[in-house]
Amino acid sequence: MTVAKRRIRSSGKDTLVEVFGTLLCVLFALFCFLPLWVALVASFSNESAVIRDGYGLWINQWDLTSYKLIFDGTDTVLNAYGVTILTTVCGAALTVVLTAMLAYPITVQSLKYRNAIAYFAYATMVFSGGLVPTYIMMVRFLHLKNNLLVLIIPGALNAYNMFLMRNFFATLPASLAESAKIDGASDILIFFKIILPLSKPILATIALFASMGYWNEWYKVLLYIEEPQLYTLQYLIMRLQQQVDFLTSSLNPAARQALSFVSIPTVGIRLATAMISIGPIVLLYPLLQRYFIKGLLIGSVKG
Amino acid sequence: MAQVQAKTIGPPLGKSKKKRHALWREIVRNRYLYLLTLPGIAYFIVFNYLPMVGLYLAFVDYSPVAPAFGLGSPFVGLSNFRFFFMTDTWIKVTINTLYLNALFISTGLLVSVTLALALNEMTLRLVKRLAQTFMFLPNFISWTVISVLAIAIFSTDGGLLNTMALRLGGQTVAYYQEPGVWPAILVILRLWKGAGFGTVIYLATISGIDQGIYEAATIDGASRFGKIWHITLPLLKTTTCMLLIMDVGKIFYGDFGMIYALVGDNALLRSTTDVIDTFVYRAMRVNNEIGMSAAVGFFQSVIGFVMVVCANAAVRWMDPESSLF
Repeated sequence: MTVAKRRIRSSGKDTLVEVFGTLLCVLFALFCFLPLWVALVASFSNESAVIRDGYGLWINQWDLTSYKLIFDGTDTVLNAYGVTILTTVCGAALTVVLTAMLAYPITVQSLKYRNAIAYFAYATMVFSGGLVPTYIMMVRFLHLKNNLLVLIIPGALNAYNMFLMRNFFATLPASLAESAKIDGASDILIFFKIILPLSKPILATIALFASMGYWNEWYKVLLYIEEPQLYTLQYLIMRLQQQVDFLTSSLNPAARQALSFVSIPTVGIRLATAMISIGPIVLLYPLLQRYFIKGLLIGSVKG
Repeated sequence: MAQVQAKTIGPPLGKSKKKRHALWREIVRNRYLYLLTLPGIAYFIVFNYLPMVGLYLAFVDYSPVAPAFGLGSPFVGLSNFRFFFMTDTWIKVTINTLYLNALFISTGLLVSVTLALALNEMTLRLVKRLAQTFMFLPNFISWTVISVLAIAIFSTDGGLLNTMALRLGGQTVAYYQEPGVWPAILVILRLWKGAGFGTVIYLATISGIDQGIYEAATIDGASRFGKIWHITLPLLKTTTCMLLIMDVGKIFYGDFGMIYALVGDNALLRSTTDVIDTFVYRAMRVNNEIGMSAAVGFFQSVIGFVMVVCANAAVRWMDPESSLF
């Protein structure tokens, strides 16, 4: 009797815990999702209607002016899109190659100085020269100012990714490489033909980590790029925040004419640019989610 | 390794000649492996180690025409530091950096752990997956895009909050001219972007807990809340401490990407949002005070280094298995 009573009472409390937890998660999920949704809706809405009625959850006056402007009115946005895609693809490829090439040798037991190399990489994680010396290095020594390479090469290799990859390589059986070596394969052949094909999960994870970094890059543009045709999408969004006329001044005559009897949707242009910049992220999100969580787990579990 | 090298560099003795041979033999034997490491090593030297040499800039009167990294400029001792430490600015930006980071760390920890516990308690599979998916999404959105959203929410004309306030008969608030509200705004936006990420880590730790413990507790009549309080939370302690220590190690580094994207050059908000990193950037790029900004960077690098090393030592002391290196 008492046992049954206790079970009933405690199960009531237990349901409460679950209801409360579910509510909390759903509310936080909405908190995460709604700003994006509201921005998406507003980017497809008529701007004066948005300003009059405020932002809403649904489009009440469909209007594509902002998107038409950024796709047809000017080539600034499309150009920035191109720069972003180029730097992302090249940057991610470079990151994977550089990281793997450094990470593999330090897992080979017979390499005498592998610990020295590991410490050499580790030191870059705990100490850095800071902004000023780095800036002077890039601009005065490497002459990378206003050069697309400055958006690709710096940042391609970091010790954190390197150790993440090393931890993965270390889980591969050493006998694979050893037996290939006995058969006369060189270390470079072993690396490309045996190790890399077996390491696709970690290569994908690092490539995605890197792609996200390159896709969202604007800090380096702020520091090193002054020519508008080398702007990345994210930096373009930054510029549009500070001065909207940056884009409207680059409009072509046809777009200007069409706009002469409507006001230029300044907020709409910003929102639309932001939306097209996160479009690919949302499309790739299932992949991103899976590999990021995998990568996080590799990182948090010591290899 | 350091010893080996020191000996091979030293005066030629019979023994060291042998050592040099050993070094050479090792390099020849593993030449392809060392060849593979070359690009990475060269990369670290150029982009990480040479800038460390540039820390010397903090002690010179930098002149852009002087040769060799400005290293040829006249040595001025600590006067660049004096310039920074004489003003009140350094106290303000240091306090802002520490205060904002402390806020981010504590709120992030609280919200992530709570959400991970809540997610773990959910039995509705679909809702759980959807919630997790939406929580993790903002992690991939850049601060520049978040800044666009922030303007849509907080701006004075047409912003979501002010439109709502007007409709409810309230007063509008000029958020972009009101430094007092910005720590709160930054915390909220930070949680929006980052809490899902933390939640994933804590949830992974929770799902790694031995289910047998829970079953035993259930047999002993433990309630669900009791299990959270007496089993899950204590078992999360290691992960929590570890993440906390690593965050504290980085407490002297302000999040430039976040603050500059959201606040930009808005001087009205500087009293609460200016951190060491934005200050250094401004001193270098806007005011062109290379010497002073190098000195601040030096100050930050040294303290940051001490903090990170202490944090790593603490992690290793707590749990030798979980330090990355």
